[in-house]
Amino acid sequence: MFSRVLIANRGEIAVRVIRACREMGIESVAVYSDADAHALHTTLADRRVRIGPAAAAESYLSVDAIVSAARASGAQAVHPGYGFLSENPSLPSACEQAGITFIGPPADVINVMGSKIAARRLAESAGVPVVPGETSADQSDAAIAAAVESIGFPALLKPSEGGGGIGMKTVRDRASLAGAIAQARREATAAFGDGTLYVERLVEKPRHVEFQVLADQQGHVVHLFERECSIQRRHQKVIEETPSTALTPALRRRMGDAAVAVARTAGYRNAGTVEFLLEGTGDSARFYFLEMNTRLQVEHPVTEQVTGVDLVRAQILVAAGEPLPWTQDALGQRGHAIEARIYAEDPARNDLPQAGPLLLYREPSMPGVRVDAGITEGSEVSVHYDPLLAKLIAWGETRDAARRRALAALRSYPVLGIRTNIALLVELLEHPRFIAGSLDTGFLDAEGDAIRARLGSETPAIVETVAAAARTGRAGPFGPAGGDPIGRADNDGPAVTDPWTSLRGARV
Amino acid sequence: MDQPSPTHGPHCVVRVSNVTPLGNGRYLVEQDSNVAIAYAVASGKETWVFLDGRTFLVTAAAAAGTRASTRDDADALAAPMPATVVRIEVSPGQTVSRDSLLVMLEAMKMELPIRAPRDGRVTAIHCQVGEIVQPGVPLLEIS
Repeated sequence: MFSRVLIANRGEIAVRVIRACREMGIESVAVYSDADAHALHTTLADRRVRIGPAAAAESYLSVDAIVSAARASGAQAVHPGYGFLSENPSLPSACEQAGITFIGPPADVINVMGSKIAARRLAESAGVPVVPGETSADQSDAAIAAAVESIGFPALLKPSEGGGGIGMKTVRDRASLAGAIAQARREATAAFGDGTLYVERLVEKPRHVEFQVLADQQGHVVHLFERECSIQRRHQKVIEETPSTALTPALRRRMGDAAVAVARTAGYRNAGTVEFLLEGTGDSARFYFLEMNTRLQVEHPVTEQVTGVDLVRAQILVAAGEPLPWTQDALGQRGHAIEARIYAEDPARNDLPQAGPLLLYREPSMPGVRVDAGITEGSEVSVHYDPLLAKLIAWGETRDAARRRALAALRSYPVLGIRTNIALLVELLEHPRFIAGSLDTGFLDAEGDAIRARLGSETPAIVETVAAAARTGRAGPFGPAGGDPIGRADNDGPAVTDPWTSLRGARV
Repeated sequence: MDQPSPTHGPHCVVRVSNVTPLGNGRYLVEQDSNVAIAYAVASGKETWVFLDGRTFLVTAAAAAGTRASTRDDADALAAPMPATVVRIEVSPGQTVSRDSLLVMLEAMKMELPIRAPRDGRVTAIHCQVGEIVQPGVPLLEIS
């Protein structure tokens, strides 16, 4: 087993991996850019190494900086997290040359799965169905337009090197085609340094259902069931859950077998996720291979909550050469888990990303609720990186129990100083279609405006009273100013001055 | 696990309400016989308040509620947040029509288009490609 692991990432996933290392008795090494000198992940690790300036290209995206940091700190292995270099085959290659273990799949597998074309071919050779689409060898605007015409509208334009929905454009008609190609190419070039586009037929009203797989170096491959990630905005996931309301035991078995077949055919190792588009529900549903993510997913905790498996620990164990400690038959799903992603963005202003200080930040703590966060009170949310702040994961015996726990927790989760999407998440979890489990990837596009309209309500008078109390700067009953209640003008009730009396019934 | 009933809403007639500071940004909110915990923190002229899953930004002067934070038309030609200028689509002297793209910004991996708020003529450009611009600082002027 490793004695020291470097985590080539930041934010909540770096914190998650640091915690796993600590539990396993492994020293953790955090890396940070100048913008993250005080970031939470750097304060929780055993060691930390500066890797460069704020710009990701010169820090978290620099293979040289990461490998130098690993060498300098004496780390025997590198965990890439998700995003940044996690799906860049240069990192495992450079690690191998430096004699450092990469906690993830081999470079050649990342290469194959990183190319939508090669990944599709591989899935087809594994006997798994794929969505009609192509990447024309001729990448001129005219050739891309011709490819769209031959596949038919509506079509999707995707960066060939892409992931996470960045740069993906839907084209519904000929009129918007030229503009969409130009924008998709620009965003692909900006995000991935490669403007190659892939054209795919858009499956209408699909669900996004993915399967977690794990493979060891001894050739064992298992799946850890599905995650439903149909609630997305701009192709970025917002709420994920498991099990999916769309699967029956027979369909789950077929999709799980397909996911294992893809991983086995690819010669996969470590944790990965096979994404499918699902058309319809139940035994008659059709599924198509979408892509394989060759890394840990943001939403991995829902799988951990229902399977009881620690995926990060499993990643580290199989990277160290240990065999998988369970067989497929030993794995099962117990209860239901829902993850809500807390983003630094303003749902009332078209999800505009927010940056600034977290003046007040208190995580909810209650049965069945887990929070994976990369920030804490006093943290500064910077403009340089992804707006994901934290993930709230609720587990319950049933889907509705998990949903109610998630709601109760979100209602007790103050994040002040910047705007977040917490109120939007509350509305989503209370939406009749979410309650009914009647979801597809167009849910937020279809219902988003109506949901957002409910967020713009007036400020209640009581909120202004609280604000007035905060402005006066009274320290409260535990401070020197005492516990005088601040009554409103229409207050005709008795003034409560005893803090312990006033604490009665307080929700903590 | 059940939530206390909402402490606000159109059909809730407020007769008695008390707010008691509990320290460390926590406030006990009592309305009739309902109790809840609110969180608040003041920052300059603005105060952030969290109550029952909702976040409010209250401005001291206006105290007019959530709209206090929305910007008016005057600084629509400024970046909404710190961002990098990716492209400038116009040049000084050019006439532009309402909603036409003036400047493309990028922040947190997203494109943020700055569009003309009305028909007019570009009189000055105050930014350049590659520059990191701050919110509230005009990017260009339209007569």
